[in-house]
Amino acid sequence: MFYMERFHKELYCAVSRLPILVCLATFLVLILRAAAMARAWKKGRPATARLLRGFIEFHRRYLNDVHHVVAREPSSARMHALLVGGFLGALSFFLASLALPAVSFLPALVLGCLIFMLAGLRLEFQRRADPPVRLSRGSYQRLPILFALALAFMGLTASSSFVALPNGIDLALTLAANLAGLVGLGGLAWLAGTGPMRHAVAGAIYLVAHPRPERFGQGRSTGLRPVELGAARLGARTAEDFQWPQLASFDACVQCGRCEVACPAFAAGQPLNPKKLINDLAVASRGTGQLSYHGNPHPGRCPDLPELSPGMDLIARDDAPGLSPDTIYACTTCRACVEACPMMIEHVDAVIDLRRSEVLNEGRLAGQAQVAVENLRQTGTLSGEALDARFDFATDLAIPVLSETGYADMLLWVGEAAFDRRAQRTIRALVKLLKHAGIDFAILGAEEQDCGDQARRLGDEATFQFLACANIETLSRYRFDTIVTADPHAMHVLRNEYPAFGGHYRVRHHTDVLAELLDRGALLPSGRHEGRITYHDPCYLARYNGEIEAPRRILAALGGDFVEMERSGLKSHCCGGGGAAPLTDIPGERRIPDMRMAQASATGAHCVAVACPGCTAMLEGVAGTRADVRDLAELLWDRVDGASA
Amino acid sequence: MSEYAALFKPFRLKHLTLRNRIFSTAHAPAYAENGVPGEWYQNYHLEKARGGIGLTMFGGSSSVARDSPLVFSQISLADDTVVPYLERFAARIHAEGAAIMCQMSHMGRRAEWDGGDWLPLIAPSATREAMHRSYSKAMEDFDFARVRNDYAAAALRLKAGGLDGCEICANAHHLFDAFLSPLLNRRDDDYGGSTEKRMRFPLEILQAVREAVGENFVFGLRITGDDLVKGGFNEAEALDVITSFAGSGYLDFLNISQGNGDFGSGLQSMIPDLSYDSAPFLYLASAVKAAVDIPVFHAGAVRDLASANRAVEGGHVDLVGMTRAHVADPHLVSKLQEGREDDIRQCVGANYCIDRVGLGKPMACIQNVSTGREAQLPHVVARTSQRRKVVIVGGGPGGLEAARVARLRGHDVTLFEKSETLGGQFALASAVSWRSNMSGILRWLVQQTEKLGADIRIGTQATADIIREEAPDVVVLATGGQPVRPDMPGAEHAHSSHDILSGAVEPGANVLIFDIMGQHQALTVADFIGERGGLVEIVTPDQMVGAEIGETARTSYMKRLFARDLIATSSHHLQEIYAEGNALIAVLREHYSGKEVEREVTQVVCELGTIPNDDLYFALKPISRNGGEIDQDAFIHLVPQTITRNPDGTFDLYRIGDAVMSRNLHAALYDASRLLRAV
Repeated sequence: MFYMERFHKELYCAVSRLPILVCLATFLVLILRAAAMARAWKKGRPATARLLRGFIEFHRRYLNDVHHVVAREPSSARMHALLVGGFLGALSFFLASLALPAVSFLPALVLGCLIFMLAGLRLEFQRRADPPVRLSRGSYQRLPILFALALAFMGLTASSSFVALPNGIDLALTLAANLAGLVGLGGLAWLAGTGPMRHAVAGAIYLVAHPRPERFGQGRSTGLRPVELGAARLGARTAEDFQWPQLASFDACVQCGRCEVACPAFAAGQPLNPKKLINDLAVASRGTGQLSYHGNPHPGRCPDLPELSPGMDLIARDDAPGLSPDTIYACTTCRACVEACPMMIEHVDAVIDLRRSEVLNEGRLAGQAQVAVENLRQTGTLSGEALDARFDFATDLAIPVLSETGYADMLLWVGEAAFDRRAQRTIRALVKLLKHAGIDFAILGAEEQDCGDQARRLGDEATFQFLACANIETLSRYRFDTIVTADPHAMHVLRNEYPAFGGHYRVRHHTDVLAELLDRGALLPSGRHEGRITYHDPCYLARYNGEIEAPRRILAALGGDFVEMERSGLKSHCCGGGGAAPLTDIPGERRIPDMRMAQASATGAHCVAVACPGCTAMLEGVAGTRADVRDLAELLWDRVDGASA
Repeated sequence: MSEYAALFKPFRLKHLTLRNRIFSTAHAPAYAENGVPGEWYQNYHLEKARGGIGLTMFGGSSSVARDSPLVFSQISLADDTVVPYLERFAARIHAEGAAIMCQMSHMGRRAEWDGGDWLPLIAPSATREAMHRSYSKAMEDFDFARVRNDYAAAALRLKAGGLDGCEICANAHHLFDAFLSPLLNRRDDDYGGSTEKRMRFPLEILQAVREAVGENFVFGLRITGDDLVKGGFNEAEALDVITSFAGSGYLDFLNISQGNGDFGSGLQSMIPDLSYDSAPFLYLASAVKAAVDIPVFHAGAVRDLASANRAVEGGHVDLVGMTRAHVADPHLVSKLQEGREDDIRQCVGANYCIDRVGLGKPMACIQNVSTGREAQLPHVVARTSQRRKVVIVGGGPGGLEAARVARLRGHDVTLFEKSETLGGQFALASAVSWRSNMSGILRWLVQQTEKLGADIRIGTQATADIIREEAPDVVVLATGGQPVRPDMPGAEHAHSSHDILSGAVEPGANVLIFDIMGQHQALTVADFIGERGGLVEIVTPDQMVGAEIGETARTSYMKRLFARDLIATSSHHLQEIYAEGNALIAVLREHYSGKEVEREVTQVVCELGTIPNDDLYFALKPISRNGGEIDQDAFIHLVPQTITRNPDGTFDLYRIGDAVMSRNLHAALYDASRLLRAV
């Protein structure tokens, strides 16, 4: 009997220590898995961000910025907050209770947290019963089971201190609980290396080392970073060419598919799914076979991850595995994916890095893009027109030229619009408005070269830098207060990307200037715009520069029945014209501008107001009966001209 | 690269920068009032400047001297009266971003001795001029100096008026180019004989003008590249002469033309109508362009933008004239700039514009009723805020124009057309091959009306009940007319023009056409039959066939009809028709003598105009508010109609075009446009 009792006692003693072993085993798995991930990231290029600052700001970045994005979908946010909050709380108190068995209230706190976790888990089970198509399946479907096992483990272990059960049952239950703990917690730890739980580990590290820390605290950072053109390798040819935080960002993807839903190329059936792209790049850094993917493919393409490993070329050539060039050139750089991503992944930076390698290392450019870049190099204009022909369309407007006046309050940057008959109408309206308002403005005339936006978006950093430096050199010779342009792409480049080359200017979009002139009473529109009107936010104005309010002030001044599209403001849907996409022209099942025009038509508007020559061209290219496409400057001039007539 | 890029490339002409390559050549629309270009004249050109044209030239054959009388209401540059008008004119055109120049000429022999001050006409030699049937005096020594000075003084007035430049007219056998023609210049002194001698006086004029205006004024020459007269100033000699002029250093540009003005046929080649393809004489300008190093311009039935662009892009010319193209649509350039190329109303070459001037009436466009009426009927139709329901019956040009204008005003429009196709009687106008361009007028109206969203119901015979069901505010009846049936013994043997042109009746082999209208219909039928192998005699009580058709348009018919042995019998009435065997006997009576003659033919066609289709009108009249009455003052001044004859009426009733009385296309369009602009 004594031996029996002693055996029992020792058995219970051993069993009571099992939870500690389970936790230690889990921790060990977690460390090993994380270490394997870290080894893969270490092959990447060094980070430029300040890590200490990231570490100090981590909690704010996570609780404010990440959750700000997550909370755009309240049901997901609720589920995540209950499940993760409950789990982390319970786990903390659970570990504390193991370390301090004498503190008797800790198990109660564990149970308290588990109630929240249970509520979250219930939502998760409901969602996983019939998950939306944007969510990945595979191990994500098993995730709630592992959480349930972990919950059972912590719950049973914590409650054992309150409930006395007959010995046999107690022993069996304890063993079962620990087995559940081993499978549940251990499984979660295992999945932190190659499965869904990667996002927690990699995501946390990525938040610390985020390459665009300016974005935190509701900030904005959208300009592309310059490439050191003298380097041996330019852009991202293999996974190691990315900075290591970028590699971490690929592992941070939680495959929620919000980018996929936001992506215009995906919606158009072009071979780009930003979620899949990020996971393609993750497997390339980790090695083929290391990761699995059960989400939507790039439309029309193989659903599996490519057989890529570190050191391999990321872009497929001939029969080699890898990403299709079509995938990276389908991107319109609209940043809808970036804006939607709760992990704050920078998809567009990755796409541009890939394009840069294609163009700068390989010298490859598709179709019209090749022609456009050749034109830029030889003539300084995208269309290959002569620089001194830029203002041919405006000879009768007699716009002062800066080389003759030397100074102007405003420098009007016209860009490629000057060579497009449709866009010329916008510029003519703008010029008339500025004259009407008595603004002192001038143009560069034949000295204006292309701003380089399209070259840079195509990945041709060399041509971009050449044009940027040439323009900065020209601008340095003149005095002006502000640059104003009707092209959000030019505005973005001049405002956000020229500073890296020494060009610091105050750059304003024409809608901003016109709204101010309306406020000041320098422009007095008469009458009302007849009929319903909607407004299409240009990506480079709204998402890239956060300017969504000035255009709406102009619309208010025009009068008329203004209605918003469902996707507007920072959530605006691209027209399909960004990122030089019209030049690469990757085929899909639908055309992006057709989809956008359908969204506009759904409002019942007979007129779509626009504020970008690219959007104008794309939306006007929609065939069939459709709403009129008018730039805000044109609409405003109609009213002002009518008033003065 | 934008479409039509060549046309939109600015052009440096001395100190001027023209904003594009499209210009309007100098012509005389007969809008001048007492020899000066007032508001009427200026408004017409101002519309082109607003419409984006690069350069507008006005004042065709503006007279430099008193012995060059204003026979078709030209501008007089013979004294300073004109200068203040020029100043205002130039300022208004410049404000719209266009350049402005004027043509000047001494008409020489090509005028009427009883016009103006009854001064004798002058010419190099005393030859007879056919158009005005006049002789002129051979110039004497003192005439040379006077005319040189007149040209120089006129040019100085144009410069003083603030114009950008001027040109001399040398393309219509006026005094300047009469000297160049070996047929018209029979002098045996230093001003006639060899090419060099014939060039002498023209060169003296060029020198005098250049010395007067100095370098800071654009000065050019509009000159024929071939006067198309046998033994005249032919292509080869013209090229030599033009090259010499270009090398003289006096000229800033050459504006190449063709033909002459002595006959209707000469005028028609100068102003080619719809029987010519687009840009038929570009080759003449192209040859000059290859030979000279000063800018070369050209106009001549360049009706479409593709031809215009080809002319400039191919290096044939520097500027391309689209004069009648602007008469049809002064907003041609801006519509192109605005991506509204489909909205451009293209000139069809009917030459209604020039022929009206030839008939002594102010210029009008056959299809654009706003041209020349800019102040009254603006080219842009103003919208109204009072939306009304307009029902139109009849899908001919009048009905379509009513529907178009009503939609532009913002009204709801329903148009009923009983047949399966739109066009009404006017669809018959393009029945002969060389007049197929006429269908362009209809095509534009239909396209615009459909685009503007009028509810067009073809194959629907409108009745009073159907119209009431529509609950209209305004009903416009454009039901047209039907051929007048002859009233004479044997009338049952006669067919109408409509019967033949519509294909309802096969053309006969030997046909007598009796025409009392003198319009296009009878000649079209004659040509239609001729094209199908029939022999034709046209009989008319008038003194000539086609008396109401203008000079250049009639030329196209006559060329073809006489080539097919037309018999044109004037001064006869058709008295009776009777059958004799397989043949028909037509009895004709000479108008003055009363003498009767007979013709044996296989078919008789009568063109007696139309009577209104007015059954529906009289059915609706009693229940309409206004009883069909129109307040004529309100109608003319575009003021809303207010007549109420029947307070129980729920709609106003109007009829337009041939539904009122037999008239022409322009009348129907003008009715429609005036009426609907005030609704």
